Amino acid sequence: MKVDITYPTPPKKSRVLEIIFEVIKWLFIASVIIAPITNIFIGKQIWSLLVVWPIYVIWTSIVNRDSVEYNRISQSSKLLIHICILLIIVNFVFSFNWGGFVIPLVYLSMLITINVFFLTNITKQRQNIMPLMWLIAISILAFSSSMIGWPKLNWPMVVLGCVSFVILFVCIIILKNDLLVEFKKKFHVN
Amino acid sequence: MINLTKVIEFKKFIESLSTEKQEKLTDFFVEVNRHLSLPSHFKEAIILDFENALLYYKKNNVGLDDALNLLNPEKLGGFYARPALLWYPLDDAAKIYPMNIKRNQMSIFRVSAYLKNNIVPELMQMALNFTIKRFPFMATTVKNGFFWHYLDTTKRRFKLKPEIHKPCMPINVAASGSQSFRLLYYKNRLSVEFFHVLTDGNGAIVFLNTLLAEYLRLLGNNIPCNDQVLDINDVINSQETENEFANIELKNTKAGGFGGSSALQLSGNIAHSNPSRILHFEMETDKLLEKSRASNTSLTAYLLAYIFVAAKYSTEAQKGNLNIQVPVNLRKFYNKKTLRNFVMFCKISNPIDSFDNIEEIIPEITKQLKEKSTLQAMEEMVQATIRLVRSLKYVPLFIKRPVAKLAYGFLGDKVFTCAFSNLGNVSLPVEMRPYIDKYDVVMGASSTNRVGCTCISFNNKTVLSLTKNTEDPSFEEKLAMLFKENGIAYNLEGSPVYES
Repeated sequence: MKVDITYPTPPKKSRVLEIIFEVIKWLFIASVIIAPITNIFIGKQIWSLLVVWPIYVIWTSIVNRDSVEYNRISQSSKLLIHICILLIIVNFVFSFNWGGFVIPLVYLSMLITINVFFLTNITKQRQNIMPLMWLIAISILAFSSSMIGWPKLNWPMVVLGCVSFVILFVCIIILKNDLLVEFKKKFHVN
Repeated sequence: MINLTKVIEFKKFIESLSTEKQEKLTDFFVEVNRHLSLPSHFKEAIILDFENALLYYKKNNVGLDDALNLLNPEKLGGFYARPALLWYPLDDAAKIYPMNIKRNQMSIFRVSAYLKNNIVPELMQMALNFTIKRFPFMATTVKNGFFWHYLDTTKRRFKLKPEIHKPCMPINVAASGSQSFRLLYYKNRLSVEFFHVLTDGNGAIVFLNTLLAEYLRLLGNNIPCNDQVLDINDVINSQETENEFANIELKNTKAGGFGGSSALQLSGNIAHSNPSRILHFEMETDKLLEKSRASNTSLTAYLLAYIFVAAKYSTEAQKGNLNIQVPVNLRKFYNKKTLRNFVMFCKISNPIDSFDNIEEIIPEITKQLKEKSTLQAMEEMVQATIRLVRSLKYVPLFIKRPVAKLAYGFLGDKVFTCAFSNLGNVSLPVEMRPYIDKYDVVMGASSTNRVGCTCISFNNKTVLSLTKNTEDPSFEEKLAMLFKENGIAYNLEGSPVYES
């Protein structure tokens, strides 16, 4: 069958990365299965959580990246949540009691960084504002909850709450009606 | 990246002009600037596009006044000067596509037009710069909502690129402000590849034709508009951007048409990287129509018969059903003008042991096609779609997405042996016809189906295109044999077999 070739020959694509990802995938799957089973047999703390969670974080951040909305605000917000969950796990597994102090501080520093990402390129990032809004909502919720008594109210939590309110206020001032439009987009149901 | 040679060349061009003309040019670029309120790199790129187009005109001895007239910055409209405020909910047919993106796979399709002469990239880029404003829903990026994805306007310079890679490769829609379509040129072929969330074949053809018309105008031709060639300076008709599914009344009638048992698949391993090859059978439309009329059937049913027979000979299975998905344009039933997705499909199904040749199967295909592509049948499917979408509207996306992925993995393409989409005849204004040779449509790769078939006609040329996802050549060889046996002459063009 004679075919007139009317398409260019594409450049050769290296499959190295693909193979690496495939190997990582199976290593991860094996670890996610083996770690909890070993943990069950050995007993003691639930250390397998410390294996499974970072694997999940690496998986969703590097190997199987977001196919929609992969920008600096969304990714750093995701990273922040992942780090905080990891800190909660460490704090819980090893029965430390610095979590209530360290986590708000980590959250605060990342929140400020993400806000800087937003403020340094408002024109472009205004359409990516929602992850920041979610983070603000979470911190305000945590702050309000600690006012009632859980988690314990301490100065990092107070600072986090205050900074969150300030960032929210700044966003409202800058975006005005556009912020409402962003909410409308995000929560449309039709 | 700015091409320094071009910059120097343009500087020399300015220096070669008289003072009066230099002033004219300065005024022109002031006017261009007034239309651009974009980040600096996009702004510079568009200005460079104007410069490149002017250089092209100069090389082709077009006078400066004529060139400035052709490149009138007013044609940019307010698109690049206004902030990105518009957004569009996905139409009901498109809602599944972003949920089903995988690393190497997403729903992409491509429409191409072959001009009589090679594409002039400088002018085609300008044509795109001018045309995009007429299709605001295409100047968008897919975004995550809490319940559904949506299309968010992106203000940028949309790029024309030379074709280098395989057709229908995934588009990176994740980056902030990314394009959801790509425009490519290769010799005399202009191709637009769309992420299916934007539009269907009908909308794609309108976009391609409108773009081509503007390109031909930039070449100095007088091209009028028609149904498939929009006026780029016209006010955007809200019906064109409408999700028409949302305007259909939910009735208490029968709903269904989806699902079904797994279909037979063609033999041959799925290639590692798809598509593995693109093939185009170019045939005379008149001849095909003559043959199909002689068999008392339509052109779609006639070609379907060939596909069924070729499929039968390309699988080792002895029992089971060959199911072919045939998209049906809903515009003809609902009289809508939308350029977004507005198609459903019907399933033409035949047991593999029920036929041996084309003549045997044509009556059955004709009957099924008639019955299954009626308003009533489509209405059932539309109602099922609307019901599904409305019942899921308050389920958060983070729940819907993995469920949809899983469901699509279980069912998806497995229900069909392949798809066959006939976009029909392209109707262009008479003034435009001499410049276009033919069209073709290419379906994106599938992870299950070994082949995808499409068809489009123009200028007495019907192009049946195959998207091959396996290196096994039996399907196309049988198809070629059948065409020969039935006295249908064809030219066979296509891509090389891509390395997997």
